[in-house]
This record gives sequence, structure tokens and C-alpha cells, in this order.
Amino acid sequence: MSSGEPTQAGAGRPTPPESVLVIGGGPAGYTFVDQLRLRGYRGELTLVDPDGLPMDRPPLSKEFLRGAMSREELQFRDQAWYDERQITVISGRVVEISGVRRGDDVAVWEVELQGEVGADGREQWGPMHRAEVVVLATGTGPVAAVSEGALLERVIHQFYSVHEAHLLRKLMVPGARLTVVGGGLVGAEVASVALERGVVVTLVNSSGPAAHRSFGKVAAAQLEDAHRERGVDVVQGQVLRLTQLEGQPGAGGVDEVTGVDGVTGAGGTPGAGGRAVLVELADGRSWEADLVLQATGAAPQDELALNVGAEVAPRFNVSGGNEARGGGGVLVDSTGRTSVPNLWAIGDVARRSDEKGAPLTWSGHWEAAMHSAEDAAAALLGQSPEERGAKWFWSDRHGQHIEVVGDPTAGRVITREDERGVRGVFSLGEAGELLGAVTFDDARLARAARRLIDRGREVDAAALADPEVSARDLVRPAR
Amino acid sequence: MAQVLDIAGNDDIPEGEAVVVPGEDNETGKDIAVFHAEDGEFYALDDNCTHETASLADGWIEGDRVECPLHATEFCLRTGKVMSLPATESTFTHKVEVVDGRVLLHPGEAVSDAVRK
Repeated sequence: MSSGEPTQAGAGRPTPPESVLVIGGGPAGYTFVDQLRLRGYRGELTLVDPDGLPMDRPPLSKEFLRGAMSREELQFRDQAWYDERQITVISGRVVEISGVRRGDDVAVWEVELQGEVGADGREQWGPMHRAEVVVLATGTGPVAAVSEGALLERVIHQFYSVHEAHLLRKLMVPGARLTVVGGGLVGAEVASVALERGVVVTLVNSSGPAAHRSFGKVAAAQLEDAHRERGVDVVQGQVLRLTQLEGQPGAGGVDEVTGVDGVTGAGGTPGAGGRAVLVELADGRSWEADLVLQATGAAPQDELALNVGAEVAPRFNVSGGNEARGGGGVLVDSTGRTSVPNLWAIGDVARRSDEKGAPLTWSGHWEAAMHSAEDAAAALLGQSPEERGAKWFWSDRHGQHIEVVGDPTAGRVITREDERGVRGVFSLGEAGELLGAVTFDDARLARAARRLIDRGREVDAAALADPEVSARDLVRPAR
Repeated sequence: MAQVLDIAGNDDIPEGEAVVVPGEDNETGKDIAVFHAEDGEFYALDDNCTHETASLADGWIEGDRVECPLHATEFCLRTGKVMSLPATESTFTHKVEVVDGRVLLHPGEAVSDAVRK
């Protein structure tokens, strides 16, 4: 995979830019600056993120939420690592980028950071940085609220940063009643960690089984059964309204979303009563919760690109949301170039388009984000990106490590089961080739499936279903 | 010099498989994974991934690399070098040799081309 040894593109190699500025310090932003230096880029290199040093994200709803990983451990590298490579990391939020034109081309980007609020209560002009190339790696952010009451104090509106993870960690105390709206990857993982901590969990799915678009129907049903077996109350329905029951200030009952200190300071301990939220479904059912997490999906944070006229896909996957401009990802070619010269996009904020410019399915997974960063770093320096195989991601819940490779949502389903239960669910195409797989606590089976998918040839369905056939033997040529 | 451990016969560990020599049985105090790679050679690394708790011996062995079973970080079996995220730290190598059909592990003795951690 990521060998770091680029192949040379030969003729037509562009002159590397004098300066590159990356906005966003998740897996994509980090991988990009690492790769750019590994591939020999010597120009000025800057990365800006509100949280400072680049940080990994998947543990936020898993190990970090559980308390098994610290804030420092989330960071990919310490400051010294960036210093050694002459990569400048700036803590700050970019509010605007604007191109300073010279003729038809953008000669340089001006990148403005959020300023501090002065003594007069007004925001000062923020620091300005200049760069020849800007790379957007801003990831995802909240989608529009899907139900009334999203801004109540005890409602965490989406989960995509260390801030929400901190908040949840503090509020998930034994006996607290948590309602998770949305049973996708994050919702399911939070539900699982909450159970471990003695929290009473209700999970609301709008259309079930949850996350069948990620796992396929058979595996998704399997995963939903696992929720129920462990004691999660899984509810099917549409959340109509969330209402603060008591102690809410003002008649409107709508508070601003407050920070960690604001919530714990004002609300006290959840479960102790007094700050409960009434959850009402469209079909009339209702219950009280001490804490609500809206985990109904996230959207690419593509406003910066939108504001400079880059092509951005319309919002997707949001039920009942307004058809806003953008929100569906910055359209890029196979290497991360946007429609605007010297502006690139990588990771979750980017949306690949086909040769005709039509948006492809947005994948939004960790490994895909890093691959896109690697490919963009190569392309920016005129090197050839690597060939990519079947996509892969994982999820951890109820002590199980679940992996997904390829596309498990279509085709004929084959299941591998042993005395421990279902170990793999495979999807076969019309020619008997493997399209996708979901594996349960079986890393080698996932890796074997990935290789079989990449080969694209007819597979031995009986062997896939037979737990006696080892994962290695599935990919070994018959002897 | 480290104490040399006779791990197994060279036919006992199939190619593409690995065994763990527990920390209490070797003087480094840490579990060591001994891999039988596809090239027929034996290699040894610290068993635990440098990222989180996961046994590299349970990983996928291909070419001169092992892929961690948890989050798919790859390590070079020859040098211990970390080849992909999420781990960012390389790991320790231990010398392995096959003498008279026996696999001999030298715990704590790095191989010559190992990377500095």
C-alpha cells in the first residue's frame, strides 16, 4: 500500500509550488503533509486546524470515548516531528480563502483565520496567511437539524470532534438515560460504549435495519440483533420533536449549545432529574431521556470551496433538509484537483467525480481519506498515484471488531458461521465474483476477502461458507 | 549475548503463519511474534502493535510485511519499519535463524538492517 516510494511520471512534470497550505488536521491533512515531504517537496508547508496538531478521528467514538485513549494519544505526531520536517502547524479556524489573481490565474491564496474578540466585543481582523496552493481537508460537520429541539442543552447535535467526545464522556454516568438518534456507525459505537458504562440506551432508527447501506441487509440485521441482545432498546421511528422538560430558561426553551463546562455546570448530573428531554416520535410514542445524541450523519464542510466558486455537489442523504447549495462535497478529479486552479480537496470534504464531472458515491471512510491524500500529494508533484483496490473500514461495538470490504450491499449473499456465530457475510456478483464482505472478529477473513475482490475472478462459494477453510487458503492458488 | 531459544522445527510453522513467544519465556519480557514469511524466511518482531493492543501474529503476512489485524497498519518484517497508518512508530526486530531444521530466536538482538525505533 503506502510505500512512500513514488513512481516518476516523466515528461510534463510540473514545477512544485513555492508554498502549500493545508486546511484541516485529520487523517487526510496529516497524511498529505507527511507524503508531500516524503516525496521530496521542499517548499513552504503549513497546516491549519482549530485543534492544533493533527489528530486521528476513529477512536473518538471508541477508545477515546471509553477513556482508554488520551487526547495526546489521538495525535499522530508530536510538535518535534513537524519541526524536523519544517511543517508549520497553526491552531486556528479558517474563515475565508480568497484568490489574488494575476491575469487569468490565481497567483496566490490569502487565507484568513478567525480573529480574537477585542475589548469592544468586536472580532478583530484575524491573522492572514498566503500560499500558492491550498488543500482543503476540512472533513465533515453537522447537517441541518433533522428534528425540532436540536439545540437543547441536553442534546448533543452530531458527533464529529474531540469536543463532543469529551462532553459525552462526562455525561455518560451509570443510570443515565441516553437516546441515540441514528443507528449508523457512530451512533452504534456510542451506544455500545454507553452500555459498558451502565447507561440505559435507546437507539432510534428511521428506517431499519440501521446502516444497511454500509453493511448490506443481512449483516445489518445481524448487528441490530447484537444491540438487542446486549440490552439496547432499539426503536424504529421518526423523531418528531425534542423538548426540554424542566428548568429550561426562557419561554422558548431553546438554549444555545453550550460547551463542556456550560453543560456540566448548569445541568448537574444527568439521571438526577430536572433536565430531562422528552423524545417524541411521529407515531405518538414518547419517552424521557437525560441525554440525546443526534447521530444522523454528517456532511462535507465545503463552504470555503463554495465561496470561491469551486464546483460543489448538492447536499445528499439528508431527510427533510433544505436543498442548500453545497454540502455534498467539493468535486474533485481522481487525484483531488477541484475546478479552481491551485485549490485541492482531500478526505471527507472531497467528492470524486467521473470523467463527465458527475459526482460519484461519497465514501467517507478513514482509509479512503488517507489514500486520497497520498494520491493528491503524488499528483501535485507530478508523480503517479498508486492503484487502489476495494475499500475497507471497520467498526467496534459490543466487544466485536467488524470490518467491511468492497460493496456488501448487492448480489447473492453467502454466510460463514462457526461455533462462535456468524464470522463473515459475503456478496457475490453474477459471474460468481466477490463484491463485498462483512467480517466479525476475523481480521484474516477480511484481508482474504479484500484480495479476492481485487482479483475480480469467480470465487469458490462453498469454501467461503466453510469455516474449516482458512482465510489464507481462500486466496492461495489450488495446489 | 541474549539467550537463544529453540522455538520450533522449521516445518512446524506453515508459511504465512506466526507463533508467539510469550514475554515470560524470553528475556525481553515482551511477547515476540515469529513469522514464517512467504519467501520461506523466518522473521521476528515485538508481537504487540505500536498503535494499540493487537497481536501482530494474528495479522496478515504477505511478501515481507505483516498487516495488523486491528487497523491494518503494515510493518516490514525485515526491518520493523512502520509502513502505513494508524501506527506511526516502528517496532523492534529480533534475530531468527534456522539451524539443522530448528528455528532459533535471539530475543533482544536486533537484525542488522533494523530501523532505529
